[in-house]
Amino acid sequence: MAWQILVLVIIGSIELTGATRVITMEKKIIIYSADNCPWCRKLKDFLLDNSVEFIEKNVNLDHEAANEMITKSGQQGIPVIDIDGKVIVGFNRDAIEQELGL
Amino acid sequence: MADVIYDVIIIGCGVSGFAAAIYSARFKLNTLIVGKVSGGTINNAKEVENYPGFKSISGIDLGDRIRDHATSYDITLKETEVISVEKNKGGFTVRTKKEDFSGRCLIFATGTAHRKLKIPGEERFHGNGVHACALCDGITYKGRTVAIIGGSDSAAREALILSEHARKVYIIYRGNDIRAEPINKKRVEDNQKIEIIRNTNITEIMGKGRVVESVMLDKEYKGSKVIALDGVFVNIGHVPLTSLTHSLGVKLNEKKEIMTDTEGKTNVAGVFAAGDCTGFFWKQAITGVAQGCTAAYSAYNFLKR
Repeated sequence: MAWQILVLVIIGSIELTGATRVITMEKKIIIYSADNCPWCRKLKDFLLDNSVEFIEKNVNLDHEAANEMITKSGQQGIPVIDIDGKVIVGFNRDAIEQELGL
Repeated sequence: MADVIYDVIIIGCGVSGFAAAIYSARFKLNTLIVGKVSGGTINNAKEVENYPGFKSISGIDLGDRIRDHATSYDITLKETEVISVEKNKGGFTVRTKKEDFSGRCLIFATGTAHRKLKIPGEERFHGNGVHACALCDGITYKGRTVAIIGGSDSAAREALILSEHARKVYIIYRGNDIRAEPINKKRVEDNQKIEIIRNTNITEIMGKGRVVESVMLDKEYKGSKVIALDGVFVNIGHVPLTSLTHSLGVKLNEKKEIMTDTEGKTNVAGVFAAGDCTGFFWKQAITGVAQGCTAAYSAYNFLKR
């Protein structure tokens, strides 16, 4: 996969007193997840609700992705989100919002 | 300072909180529900088989349905962590990292967190061999050996989830017989991968680098105090998340659960509580939901005085 494809455009919108403010930024976002993982679903729902694009790697199906996640996060729990190198373990909504500037 | 003064602020957006929100909205109270993440601990349940109306539903689906029911009414949901609560002139101020909210009364539905073992190795291997949620992290133990610590119904269900992935699952329990619901106890007993070690505590989680290799028991099992394994799932109960109530002088019991009467009232006027954070003796989704609706009714009666 070309590296450029990994550079994703995030477009989120926040309604402020009737007006709509559009936040545009460029960040590479990878999430590590697995099927039937409830907090992975919460994380994905949150990103989709905020129109944040991401690459999803299934650590159950992709052994290389699992090792990559363990190397990045230093642990085995899922989900993990990597926002331009900032790695957040679990679905920590406040921390993710802060990192994305939402 | 907050512009809007809510009639009711519900702190905690698990199923109890959302049940309170449904009733609060139906009483036409201006309602805010605020908490870290919708669903709460029900999200960790693979299947809920004892919630009336649903023969079997995943915890996250049940939580989402109850949330969607609540948000179909005219309420405000804020998914963010509450950091403090204090009294103000007309009621209460609820502070989050982002903004403050003002309300005339409060319903605490803050739930619980997993209780820790507090033994050597637990913190060192946290998230990396030591876990609290089989549904979340069990999948990484495909073909390996794990242990569930605890003997409750929840521990039995977690062991069953782990048996779908792991080669071998020990249940290590300090008591003589696991306390699972009979239906789940039978499932555990019939499962060839699960082995129960009774009347035993674990005293240390051991390993090399970031890899768990074994646990130490307080007595021998099959000739050894050491059991080789790859992961430990701790399921020894929960601790109530009630520290936010301290600033208000809300009375807690010896377990630090919020003391309420049968109407969900605490000792502080205008402060109510529901669900797993209270001292109610049986913590189930259905009982939490009932407490939520009761607390909302009490809040309604309090406000209309």
